[in-house]
Amino acid sequence: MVRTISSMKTLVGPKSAFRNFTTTPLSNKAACSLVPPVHHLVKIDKSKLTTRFDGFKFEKDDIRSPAYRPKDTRQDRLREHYLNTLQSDILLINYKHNATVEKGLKNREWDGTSPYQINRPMKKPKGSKSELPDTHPIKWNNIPGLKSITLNCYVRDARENEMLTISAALQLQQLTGCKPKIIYSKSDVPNWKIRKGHAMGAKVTLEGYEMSQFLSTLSEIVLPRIREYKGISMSSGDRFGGIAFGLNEEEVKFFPEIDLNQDLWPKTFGMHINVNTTAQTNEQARTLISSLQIPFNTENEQRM
Amino acid sequence: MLSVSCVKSNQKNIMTSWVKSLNQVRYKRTKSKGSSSITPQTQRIITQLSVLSARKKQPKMLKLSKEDLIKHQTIQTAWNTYQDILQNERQTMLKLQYNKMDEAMTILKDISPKLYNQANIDESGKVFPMEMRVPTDYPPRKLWYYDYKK
Amino acid sequence: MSAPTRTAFSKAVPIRANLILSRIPLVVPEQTKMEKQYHEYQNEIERRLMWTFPAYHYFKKGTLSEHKFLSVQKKPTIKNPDVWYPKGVPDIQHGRERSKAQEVILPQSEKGEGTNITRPVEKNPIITAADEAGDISSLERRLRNTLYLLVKYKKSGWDFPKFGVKDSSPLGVVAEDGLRMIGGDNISTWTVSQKPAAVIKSNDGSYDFFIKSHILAGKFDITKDSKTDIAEYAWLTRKEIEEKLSKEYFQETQHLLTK
Repeated sequence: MVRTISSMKTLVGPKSAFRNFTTTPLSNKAACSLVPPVHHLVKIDKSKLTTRFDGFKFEKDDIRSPAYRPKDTRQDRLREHYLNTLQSDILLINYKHNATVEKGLKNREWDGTSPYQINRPMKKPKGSKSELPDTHPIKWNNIPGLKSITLNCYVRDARENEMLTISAALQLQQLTGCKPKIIYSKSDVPNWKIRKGHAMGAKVTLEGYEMSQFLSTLSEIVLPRIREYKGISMSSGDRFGGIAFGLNEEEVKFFPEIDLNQDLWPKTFGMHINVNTTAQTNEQARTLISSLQIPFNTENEQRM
Repeated sequence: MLSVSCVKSNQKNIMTSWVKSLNQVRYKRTKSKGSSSITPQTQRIITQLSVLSARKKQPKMLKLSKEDLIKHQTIQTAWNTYQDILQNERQTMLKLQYNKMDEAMTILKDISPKLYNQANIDESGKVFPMEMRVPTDYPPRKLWYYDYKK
Repeated sequence: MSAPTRTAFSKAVPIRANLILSRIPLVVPEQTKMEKQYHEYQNEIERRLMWTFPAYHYFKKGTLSEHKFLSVQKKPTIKNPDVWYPKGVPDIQHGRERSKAQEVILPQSEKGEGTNITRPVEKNPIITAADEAGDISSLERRLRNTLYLLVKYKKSGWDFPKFGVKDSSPLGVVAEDGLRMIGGDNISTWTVSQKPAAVIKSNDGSYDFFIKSHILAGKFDITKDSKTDIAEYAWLTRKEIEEKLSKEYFQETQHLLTK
């Protein structure tokens, strides 16, 4: 068997060998089409077809839509500072002469030595479970900027008392002014006493003015009041422009919304703050976030 | 219903017990309404839920007349156009800056490779100083720290 | 043969490091009339679409603070079936007229009682004493704009501070050291990058490279040694720099200056 394949390879090359590999005549096969019909793939949203729900068909940024919220309601000083001062500085810092696109890890082709490799999915890249994006040199049109902030409040005690998620959600709402969502556990973990579908906390995603407002409060009021705060860890980052850090339940109390209503908050909840940026690497994201007056723990770096 | 069952109960005892089990009789309330069973913690959660929920808190939908709608759309278009103009201005300025720094580095490479190598270091990950503050709406009481000593 | 000639050439070329030292604005830029009006318009829509303020969450029922808060609020018109309302029948929920923006009034504390929250905010003036006196050497002027350091050389007039590169130390270091030579040590700056942001080739074959830096604290004051060279210095906005520099020179450098 092996001999025949290798002989075929030597005779006509791998590509033509693939073509002529099966010799079973078509007529012997079951007559069924494997191509899925197109008309089943087109989704039809019937609510769009009727005239009964005309009022709900508008986009969210249309004033006639029930979900309409005005966006630019006031001057956004953080954004203006970024556009006026920081953007060109970040461009200069990240500029590198004659920089080229750095290819990320990609899936690898099979070498074609075995006929069983026909139609196999490509090999995973070396050292990674999935493909990684390319890193483009920073130019005028891809300067790192803020995208969004996600506050994630996971309450461990909620597995015994689901009510705590309500307090956690309200805390996020009070801190941000945006409506949070309750998060549910995705799977059963008997060791941690977690059941699937159990409410475990709350999260909220901020964009635009709310994001700037939250960052300003954080950097100007909350972080300076934390005793011996060293700053965000230099190793924080998800490699693709996201940086995360946390506040524990004591540090959250420094937010003015909670600090001034302490009797309403006998229990506060720590949270994770994920800052999502358009940066392509951890380093670029760090430069950007540090420019917004958020401290980084640079002590260890200097020692090294 | 209640009166009927009472009448029946006078007539037949066996029948009464059977009917009573089906029809619940409501007497005068002796406990206070619900509140006794709610602990302060639960009450707090109820209040928190009602703060979170939109119930009874949403205002009426905006209903603009045709003229107002056109006005609003005109304002919105004007604002979007204005933002586009600003964005284009910024982009052309940044492009110019990029081209200039590129030109400067190219020339530096030609005239002094040593200076070029010192300049073209990888500075990604550089951290901004905390003293570079975001501008505020109104100035602080102390405008500038002059007494800096090296 | 080409390599040695190139090094010989590079030694001959005079290189200068110019420093663009800026003080970033302390106050947000002024809004244009259109921006102001648009924000006002959007703000009003936002207030109209806001949910009713849940006062019961902040003020416990039956407390003095609740009474104080409620007594200050304006009462909406109540619906009466016998009355005709020309501006629409009132639709009240939780004490709020649903077709209007809710106005939440905070009870102002009496004098002496003074809690910190309700005290009116005192806003500092944006036009400072230095602005009024026209003192261009002060860092406390034109708070809304970015200021740049310009020095007046006795030979050549107003210019960015420039320093000759001699022993091929990095451009950024030359610029920062030179600044301390002419301006004293008591100045805290942050060099944005070691890379030059621009270059200008002069007619005499010399090159001027521009290094960007921000002043963070301290004071620029001409030292005794450099008083023979430099007559005065000024912190100027982009517009003022345009008046001080020659037209061609400003054209070459204007992209480095924010409006």
